[in-house]
Amino acid sequence: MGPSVRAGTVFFDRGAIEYPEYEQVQQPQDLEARWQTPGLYLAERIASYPSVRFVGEKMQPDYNQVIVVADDDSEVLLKQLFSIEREMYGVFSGLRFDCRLRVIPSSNADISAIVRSTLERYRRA
Amino acid sequence: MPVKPQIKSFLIADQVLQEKGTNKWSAIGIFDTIYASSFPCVHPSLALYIRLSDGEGDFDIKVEFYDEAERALAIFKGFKLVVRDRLANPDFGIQTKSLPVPQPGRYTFRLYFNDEFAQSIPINVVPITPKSVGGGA
Repeated sequence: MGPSVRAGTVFFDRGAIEYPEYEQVQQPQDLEARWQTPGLYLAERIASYPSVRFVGEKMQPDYNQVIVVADDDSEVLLKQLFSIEREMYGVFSGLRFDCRLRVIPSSNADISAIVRSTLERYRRA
Repeated sequence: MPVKPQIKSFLIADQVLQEKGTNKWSAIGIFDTIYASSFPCVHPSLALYIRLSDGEGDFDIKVEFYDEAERALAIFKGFKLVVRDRLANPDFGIQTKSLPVPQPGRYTFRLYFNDEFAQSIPINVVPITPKSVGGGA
């Protein structure tokens, strides 16, 4: 994060003035953000699990439906999903969501029906 | 001990741009209403412009998007602002993507510094009708 020129300063003759560097303010650097919803939050938190193939989310008027498609339902994955779901209730206060796990082994490549039925899709990076 | 800044401006716009060299910000297409023809929907891209004063310290910035029922529908965080001079008036814009809008109604963006609430700004979401469009996004 580097120093920033103070914004809001007005120069009357731009050609004749070298813009000074002020170090009093350091602005946020990457000023682009995607709104994090329960589905995206879960997708980012679960990204390190190779067995997770796909996280989808469908927004309903009064709740969010989140679906996780994974190769298996190992105890480790289930515990992690449960833990993340509890975090989500804290992060998205008051919001109801229905989080479901579907086990579809990668040998069965066709998850197109699930993909089509979700509004937002978060693939593993 | 950080001194929480005062909010001088908090705007919703189509786009924010920062000019290279002067680092001056421009907010383009300021609005307070979103029109949509069907729900739920996702607003593809909107920007927030924030101007501060009278603050000093390191601040983690967080914005939450709430509906009328006090449900936090979406958040973003992870931005850091460092203000070393209390007399400075720092400003910045954040371009955001994919805002979820479940239904028509009144929503708010809530701004936090270091997880402490600073200010909120309302936005209306209106179902589109042929005569209702104007001044929104």
